Amino acid sequence: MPKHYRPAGKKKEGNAARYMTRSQALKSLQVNLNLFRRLCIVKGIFPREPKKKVKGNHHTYYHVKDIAFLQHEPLLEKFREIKTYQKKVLKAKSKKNEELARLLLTRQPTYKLDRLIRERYPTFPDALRDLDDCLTMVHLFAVLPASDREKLEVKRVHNCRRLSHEWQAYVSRTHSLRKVFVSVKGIYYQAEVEGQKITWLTPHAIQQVFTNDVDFSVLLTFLEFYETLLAFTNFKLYHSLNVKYPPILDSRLEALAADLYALSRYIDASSRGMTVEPKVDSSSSSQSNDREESELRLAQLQHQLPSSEPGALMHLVADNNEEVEEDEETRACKSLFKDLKFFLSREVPRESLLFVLPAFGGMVSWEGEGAPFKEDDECITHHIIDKPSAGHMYLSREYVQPQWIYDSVNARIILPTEKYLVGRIPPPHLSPFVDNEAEGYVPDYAETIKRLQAAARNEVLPLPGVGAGDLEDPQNLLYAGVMSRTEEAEAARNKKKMATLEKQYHEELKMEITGTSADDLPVEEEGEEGEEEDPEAAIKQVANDEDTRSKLSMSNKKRKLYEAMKMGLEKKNEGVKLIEERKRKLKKAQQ
Amino acid sequence: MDVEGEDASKVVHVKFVTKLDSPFKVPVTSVVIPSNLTRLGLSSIVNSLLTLENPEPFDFLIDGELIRMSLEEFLQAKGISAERTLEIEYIRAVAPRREEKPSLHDDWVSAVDGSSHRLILTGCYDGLGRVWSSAGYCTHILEGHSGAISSVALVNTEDAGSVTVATASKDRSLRLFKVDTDEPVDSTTKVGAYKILRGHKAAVQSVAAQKYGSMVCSSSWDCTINLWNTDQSTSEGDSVSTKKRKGNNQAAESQTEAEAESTFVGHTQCVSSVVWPEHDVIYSASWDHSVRRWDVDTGKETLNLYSGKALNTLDVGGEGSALVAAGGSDPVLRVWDPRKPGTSAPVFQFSSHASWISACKWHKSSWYHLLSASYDGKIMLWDLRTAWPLSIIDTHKDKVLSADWWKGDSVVSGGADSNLRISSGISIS
Amino acid sequence: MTAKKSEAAAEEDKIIDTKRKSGSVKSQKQKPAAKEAKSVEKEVKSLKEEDLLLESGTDSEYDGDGDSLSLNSDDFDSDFYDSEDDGSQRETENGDEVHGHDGSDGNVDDDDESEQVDSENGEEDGSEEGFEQDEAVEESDSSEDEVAPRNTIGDVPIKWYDDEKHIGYDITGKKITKKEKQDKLDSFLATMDDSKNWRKIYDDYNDEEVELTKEESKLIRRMLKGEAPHADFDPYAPYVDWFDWKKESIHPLSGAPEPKRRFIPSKWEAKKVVKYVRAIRNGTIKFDKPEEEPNYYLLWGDDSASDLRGKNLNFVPPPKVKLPGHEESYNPSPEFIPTAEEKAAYELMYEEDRPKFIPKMYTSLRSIPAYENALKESFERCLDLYLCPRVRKKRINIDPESLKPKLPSRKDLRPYPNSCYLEYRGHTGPVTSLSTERSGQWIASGSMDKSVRIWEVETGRCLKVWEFDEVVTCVAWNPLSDFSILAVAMGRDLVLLNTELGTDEEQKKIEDLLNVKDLPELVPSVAKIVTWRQDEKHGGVKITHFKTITYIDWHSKGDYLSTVMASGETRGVVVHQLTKRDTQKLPLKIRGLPVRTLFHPTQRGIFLIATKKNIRVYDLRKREGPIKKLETGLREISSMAIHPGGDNLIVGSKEGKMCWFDLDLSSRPYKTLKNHPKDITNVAFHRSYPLFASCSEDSTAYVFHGKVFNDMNENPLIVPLEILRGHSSSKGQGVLDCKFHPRQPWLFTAGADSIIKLYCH
Repeated sequence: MPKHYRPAGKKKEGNAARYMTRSQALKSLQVNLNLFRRLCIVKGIFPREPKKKVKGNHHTYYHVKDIAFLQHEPLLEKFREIKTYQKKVLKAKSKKNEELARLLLTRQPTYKLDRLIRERYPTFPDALRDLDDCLTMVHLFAVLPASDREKLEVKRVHNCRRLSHEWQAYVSRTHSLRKVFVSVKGIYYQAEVEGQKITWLTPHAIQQVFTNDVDFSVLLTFLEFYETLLAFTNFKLYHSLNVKYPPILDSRLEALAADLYALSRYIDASSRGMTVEPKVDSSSSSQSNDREESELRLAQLQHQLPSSEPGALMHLVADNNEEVEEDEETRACKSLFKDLKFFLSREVPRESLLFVLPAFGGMVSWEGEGAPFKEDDECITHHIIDKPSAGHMYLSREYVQPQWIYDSVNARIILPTEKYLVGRIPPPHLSPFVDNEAEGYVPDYAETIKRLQAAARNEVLPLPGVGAGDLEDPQNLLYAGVMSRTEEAEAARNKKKMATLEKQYHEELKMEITGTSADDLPVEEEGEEGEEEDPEAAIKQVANDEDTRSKLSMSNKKRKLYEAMKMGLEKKNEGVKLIEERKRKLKKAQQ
Repeated sequence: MDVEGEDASKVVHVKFVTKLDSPFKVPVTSVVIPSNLTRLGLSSIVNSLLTLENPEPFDFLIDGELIRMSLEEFLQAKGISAERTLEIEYIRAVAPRREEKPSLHDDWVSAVDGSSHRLILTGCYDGLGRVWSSAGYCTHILEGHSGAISSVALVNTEDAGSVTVATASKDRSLRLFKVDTDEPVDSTTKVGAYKILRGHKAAVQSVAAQKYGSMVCSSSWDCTINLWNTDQSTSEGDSVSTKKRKGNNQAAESQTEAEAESTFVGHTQCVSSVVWPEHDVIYSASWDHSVRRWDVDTGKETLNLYSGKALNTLDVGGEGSALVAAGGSDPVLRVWDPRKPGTSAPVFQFSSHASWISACKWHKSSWYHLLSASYDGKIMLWDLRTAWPLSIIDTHKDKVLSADWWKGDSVVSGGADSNLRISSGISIS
Repeated sequence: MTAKKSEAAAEEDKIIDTKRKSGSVKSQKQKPAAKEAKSVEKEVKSLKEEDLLLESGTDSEYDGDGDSLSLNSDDFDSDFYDSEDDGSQRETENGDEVHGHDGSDGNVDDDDESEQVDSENGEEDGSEEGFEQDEAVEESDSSEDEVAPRNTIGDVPIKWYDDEKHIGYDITGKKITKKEKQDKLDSFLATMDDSKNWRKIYDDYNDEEVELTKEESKLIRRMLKGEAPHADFDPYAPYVDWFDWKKESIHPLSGAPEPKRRFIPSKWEAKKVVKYVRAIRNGTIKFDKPEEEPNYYLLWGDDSASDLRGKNLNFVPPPKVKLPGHEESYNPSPEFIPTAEEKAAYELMYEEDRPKFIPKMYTSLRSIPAYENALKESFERCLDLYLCPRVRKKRINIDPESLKPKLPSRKDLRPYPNSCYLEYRGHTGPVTSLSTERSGQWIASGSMDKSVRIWEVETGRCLKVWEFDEVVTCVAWNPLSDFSILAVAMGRDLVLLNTELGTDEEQKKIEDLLNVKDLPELVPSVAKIVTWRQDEKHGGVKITHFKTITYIDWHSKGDYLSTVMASGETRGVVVHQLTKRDTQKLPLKIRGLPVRTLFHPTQRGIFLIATKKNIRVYDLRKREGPIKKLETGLREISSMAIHPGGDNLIVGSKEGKMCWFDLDLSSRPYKTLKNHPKDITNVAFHRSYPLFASCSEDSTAYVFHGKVFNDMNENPLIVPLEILRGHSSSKGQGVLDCKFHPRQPWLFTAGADSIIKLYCH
């Protein structure tokens, strides 16, 4: 009888009872696959990996509890309703009764996801933890062209855009942006919100192209959920800043695709609250006249100056009452670009820089109207330019390439700009997410940056040798095993040396006795040379034997694991080796 | 390497002293020499000082240790500062100057005894013992054994006329021969045993004679050590003819059999070697990794040194003839000092050999020197004052099965190349 | 009385009506209807019948009407409107009537109205429609409809014109002048001389005299009598039962023709509609309800008491995406960019093992193109999120070295053989087999050069050589120390040699044991298998078997000797007894080809037979099948050895695996070691030291520490100690045999390079 034989009366047990395949789940839920998918996506139900796959390996298994969880989801009913309603509409359409169809479409049943969000993310940190994908997707869709073929309406794109900007505004306002990395795929940002590291990818601001090998319905379902999630998250965050959500935006700025800027302004204004109202005129009076009109627009919008205003009193006020909850990293980030004014020329990615620079306390303006200050402002310190050569150069400012900003942001220090000046090939842009020590390969530029950092640290807070000390220990630990090996080799070599010396001694003696003069010494020398590498080989042999010995006495499982790990390490080292090899080649090429 | 050629980067002030008398005495003056000289350099300097007609190799001592490697290495190893002027004592290098021509046997030479100045005694795998007056001159052939001779020993060498020889063989018996060494040797005379000592259950590995006495002791694969009486008069269990007839070339010679006087039991494995250094003390080495000292009168074992290895050979001698040197189934020659209380760890270990050590002998007169023979075909002369062998005699083409000092200045050895080799001219002061 | 009055009213009504030609058909119809209602109130039923009678002609037009009503709402409305306003008309009329008659009637009428509005009451409807219809009848046969109306002042009180010269205007708009009143006398005279004068009625609307026709007067008369106005109408027509069961109608429903009401709009409905319309006009009802604003609120207002996650089972948070490395940078340091040939290599690779991402270098930010896979990657991420089963995997980020078990250091496990000092040279062919003499003084070796040699262990000297004429497969020394007989197996012969190493008396014993003058008479079954013979050449006994011998094994007592032949069934293994010069077959069947046999070292009569796959333990004293069967998971057993203690067994196999069995623990291997890449040729236990070894065709030998503890509940400790190399393999063969020195921790290995090596500690 088969192993999984079950007498008639007996209930199922074990994996057979605990897991069901997808088709079973569909049957029990009485939904079709699409609906099931949507449910799973929205409810965050994922297949499980049973210990023993009762139905076979090629099935996907869901836990029975999960399915029951879906079963009791009110959304399921809602979806059914929608389905039937769709049928109605279809009928009307097919009857050419456009009137009715329109009528019905206006009265479609809708559903809300907020309960689900609360259910999936009981606490806010949970939501933040899962925000990575959400942000990435929303940012992606914010730059997608709306297309009715994919049923992607303009509304949604705009919504995505709005949400992403709201998020960015929050991040830059709270200076919680930590790392930026410009990659080929787009720009990675990493922010730290409520102790959660949140990383997201924004594509480069070029029209994305549709690839036809993706199933948009899935994407849109995700997007739907993500939009809601992000909206609620933003709400919570804004609320924590005492800002009303959704924000009312300066329409004009929005029109200029600078709505991020508008947002940040808005936030600053409303988070400052009434206390700073009186200061408006004082600070505005200190402004140069080119911003008057923006000023009064702000005035009529009850808006305030951007927080990154040099010498604005309210800045101090704000800081004073913020100091308490800010950790020193935030403070570092906040004051990185302090007292620096940046001007972005047309070709640089404005979106990103408008986001990054304020986030690190910089003050930005850009080319085109709506800008807070014009290009010919004297107190601009850095002019971000991405052209091979700048047209008219002001002597008072430095013309740097945008990468300078990203690099110094990642390094947390203001890097020397000469490498990044206009027209030069900037130094390599390194990923801030890599732990070089762990990776085993440290690019040169990382080294230089580290040195600069050390220098900066020392001048700021006199802690001698912070950088050096902690680096050594792991390596020591790492190479402990190696050391012993080398010692062994050393001992063997000494032994070898003694032996040769002894041999030589006897040769001498014999010679002396026989009375021959010292001529044939070189012969022995080379003889010794011949035997030199012998001990190394022996050592290797010994090591191998050790290895095999210990492997022998391992249990089978352990041995497999061990070999796997070895293989992994091997692969990693190979990668590093390859890179170093290339480097060597390049060096050779240069010389 | 010549001294002049080297750059004298670091120099030391040295003063050569010696106990040697002229012509090997140099005027005691301090000289400045480069510190990277080896023994050869020093020796050549001394030679140049001495201006002998043929250069004499010297060996050099700095407070009781022979200089090896280069001088500075040596100094820093010993932790002696090179500032003050060093007193370097020099002695003549211990090395065989001459190599006698080999004397061929019919089979492997398994045993050699050079304890008598007049003759060399060898045992061979063809079951014959031989007596050699000098290299190549075989005076007597001792026959009778049915198996290979594993060991030979000279009993009481002091009386002038003749010597008594004991041979141990793998045919489980020992034989005693009388060889008179007076009449001039012209031809080899065959000698039969006058006494056959039976009693071992297995092959006899080694035989040793009592100093100043007439007893021999033998050790065997049957894990026992037997004591035998050699003089025929007092041997009980005599056969009919007690009168011993002198006659070299008489075929019919009355043989008497004898039983063991006493048997020392204690070893658990083959007792590979015995020595009888003092009147009532027997040392024995065995494959059960132990060296034991037996009290002859009581038959009790009074010492048990444990070495990790199976031992093939041992000898007692050196300072106060109390040091025990033993070698066996590994290339290390170990020297114990039984007088040291507590520890049973060897005080010296010489590990220049490449294979098993088949024989080791202390020099009779010197406290420092001993030799060792090994299966790697080498005989090494050792000095307790350094870790390296003084010299290596690698004249044998195959395993060296046994070796011994002869006349205090030569080494006789026999090996699996069935040769008896004599290397002489070893100057041990 | 009331009747008369009402009739009069009705009369007047009608007359007025008929004189005045008002526009719409319906309005004309209704007045007599009202009259009818009053007049014929009593017999509703008859009325019904009547209008049923009269209906037929008018059907068509109504149908059309009904359709339009049911279908579109617009003309529904419009139709509603005129119905509405002639409803009001009627009200006004009733108003007149009320004026005309006393209150009671008005009351009745009001009732009617109200009832009409609120409930669908058959009678009311019926009656209402009723008169409409018979009007239609009247309409159809009244002649004077064709005559154009003369007076066009419409429906105003005529008395307004009392003191006018005209009484109105005709269609062309000319005044219609009154006739001059003739004085009473003339009129009287006219009446007198005109006989028809009584028929004349003055119509002051048109200001003329109308002469009633005969039938008109008849009609009036009938009405006065209170009969049905029409002459040919009989109120007592036979009742037609539309709904009869006698006929062959299977349907329970009535075959009655559709009632009218189905086709005409229902007023009350219309009223509701008009209410809505008004509401819509006022804007109280909106059609498109406003786009509801997505309202967001503080979802995580209180993070307290949120155990939702607890409800559904263990939630595995989605794994984060791997963070990008240097190579993903738009401007990576040059060493990260693959060279041209590497890229070419990538092209050659398969799709799957080609690297996902190939680094590129862009000189400036603006020159970065859109990433083509952005959508695709996010899509894949989505798929991962909802399609991939998530499992928590314990990440072991430990140094793999730490996985290695802590072996007891080899120093503590000394002594064990580790280095080779002695070699035994002399054989000219691969040495197939070794055997050590009990005391450890000598070893014997058999070789493919058809010779058997005896060596002195300590010196490596070859003592004896026997030359045979067949390849020696196996040599085995008698385990007794004082009984130095060597058993040599070559081809089909087993030769017992006298090594002449013992003492004399031992020699004597051996000799008279070994010369078999009187050949033993064997059991015929056995005789087929073996024959004993004296071997003069070597001075021993030669036992010839019927098949080539593969292995021989002595019993520890030294009397029994078992030989294994390459044959299955019962004849594969025989046991010889020296003292009796006898050979016995085993009383048992062997499944498969026997490979090795073993006498149990301690327990009497226990006998192990290894076949290719597994090992069976027999008890020779009782004659039944195996008392134990050991399942080695091995493909082909090549060798086995038993621990001197007798309860542990090691088995070597041709696939290079070695199994350690604990006999009284289980029938499965306690430990399986895969240590050799090639066949294991032999395994061996040391007699006294806790050592065991295996040698293999890969020309190496392994030495293990295998300590067996006395108490049962402690497992044997197995530690690999040393890999002994040094033999050179010749034509695929490495080390063919290995034996331990009986007393020293030394290992002898017999190499295919015709050398025997001794490894010492």
